[in-house]
Order: sequence, then C-alpha cells, then structure tokens
Amino acid sequence: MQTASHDSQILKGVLGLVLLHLIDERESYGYELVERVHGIGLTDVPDGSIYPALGRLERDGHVTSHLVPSPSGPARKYYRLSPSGRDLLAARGAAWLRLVDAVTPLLNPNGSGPTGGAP
Amino acid sequence: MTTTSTELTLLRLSWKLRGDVEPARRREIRRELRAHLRSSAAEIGQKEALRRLGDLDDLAREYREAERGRPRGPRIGSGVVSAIAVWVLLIVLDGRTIMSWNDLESRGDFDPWTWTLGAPNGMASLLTFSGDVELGLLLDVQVHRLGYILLPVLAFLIGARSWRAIHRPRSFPQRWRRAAP
Repeated sequence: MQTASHDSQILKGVLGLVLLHLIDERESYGYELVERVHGIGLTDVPDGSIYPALGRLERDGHVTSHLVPSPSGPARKYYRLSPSGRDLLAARGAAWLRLVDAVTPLLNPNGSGPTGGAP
Repeated sequence: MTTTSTELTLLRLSWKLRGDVEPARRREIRRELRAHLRSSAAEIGQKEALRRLGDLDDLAREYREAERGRPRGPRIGSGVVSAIAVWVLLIVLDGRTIMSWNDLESRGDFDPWTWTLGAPNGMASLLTFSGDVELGLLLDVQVHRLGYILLPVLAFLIGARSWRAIHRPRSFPQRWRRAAP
C-alpha cells in the first residue's frame, strides 16, 4: 500500500471518481467511506473532505442517500449510486485512464522510476 | 461520546457556513460530522479525530463549493414567525381609532372615505381603512374575519419561501448530457 503524500490538487480532482467507484462496489456510510479511502492508500485526504465531496455528488444527483438505524449510535446515512452516477463513473473513469496513458510515458519513458517502480 | 470540544468545532464550522448554507442543511452537516467524530474518536481518540477532520477554513470552503446550487427547501420556521407577526399586527390594528367619529362629525366638515382590501361590504373583505378626505387622516382600521385567516396564511407562504417547494429541473446542460447517447 502506497502511503506517500499526494498532491492535494490532484487528490481533490480525483476524490469524486474514487468515491463513485467505492460506492459502486457497495453502499457505504460516511465514516466507512473515509476508512475505505484511507485503505486504498489515500491517507492524506482529510476526513472532513470526504463529506463535502459526497454532498456535491448528492446535490448533482449522482448518489442518493438513506438513513439506516445503527446499533451503536445515531442512524447512519448510507450512500448509493444513481444511474447518472454510474454514467459519470464510466465517463470519468475512462477519461482518467486516457489521461494516465498519455502522461505516464512522458514522465516515465523507460518504464522505470517512481511511477513504474516499487511502492 | 460527544464532548464540548467536538461541539465547539462543529459550531465553529457551522458559523463559517452561515449565509451560504441553509440552517437545516447546516444542522444535517453537523449531525453527519458528529457521527463521524464519534466513530473516529472511539478508535483514535478525540484529539486525533478532530485533527484528522482537517483545517476548518478549508472544510468550510469545500462545503460552500459543494452546496452551491443545491435546491433550497421552504423555511417553515420563518413562515410561522411571519404568520404570527402579521396576526399580532392585525390584532393591534383592528378597531384602532385615531379620532372618534363623533368628535369628527361634530366639527361639521366631515368628509369620510373608506377603502376595503378584498370585496367591499361583503364576506370577502379583508381589511377596511376609513378616514377623512380633507384632513387626509387614517381614522379607523377594521380587520374582517377573512383577513384574520388569509393575511397570516399569505405571510406564511411568503415567509416560508413556499415557492421553493416546487420542484425545478436541474440545469439544461446536465439534462442534455444525460440524454446524449
């Protein structure tokens, strides 16, 4: 798992895509999503940043939410991908892969170094 | 475990969002972050949980950006306050006589006027104002039964921004993108 610090601007741009993907894998509530985001190595994303990003996706209709009673406290707000969220995930995912395909050879012409080497 | 420092942090964030985010949505944000901090503090301690939440100014900025354009709902509380305020005003105004009719008639130059909001002299009258033409005075205000009902209701609808309850479609470009093959 890579835990080196990431550029905050890049993280901000890609956070929505990451959240869409994680929610597509399974419905999750806020704290669970924070842990899952950290679990894939994006440990320098502030916990608080996840919630405005979720709010933006919800505002735009890409995710829906519903409350589920929790055995250990107040009800949890679970997020679920909407059909438009699924479309957005496909579009943004493809755009991200195209971007990586275009930029990686520039930064790593010999297929070695930081982007191609060990974590 | 909800502690004072957690609540203070949430209130500070909420304060930074005032004017940009509706009170109901600010309460929802506080509720969600409180649940997060409770879970986080149980694992890593409250101090670390608050630290990991991030800088409050940054967080407030992210929330402001995220909440911009979110459809706003009616403000029921404001509507109730407006309706009560109008109702109290009507009670104060009703039957308020600035100069008695007898005093005025005794002057001999009495030239009365009346104006009714709603249908005049009927069941559909809301308010009637009376006065004297020459003096240009408002002498009497009478609130009719229908006025006591309709005017507070109107104040509620305006105060609550009830038009926000009507669903409005999202921006056209987004709809076009969705419709595109």
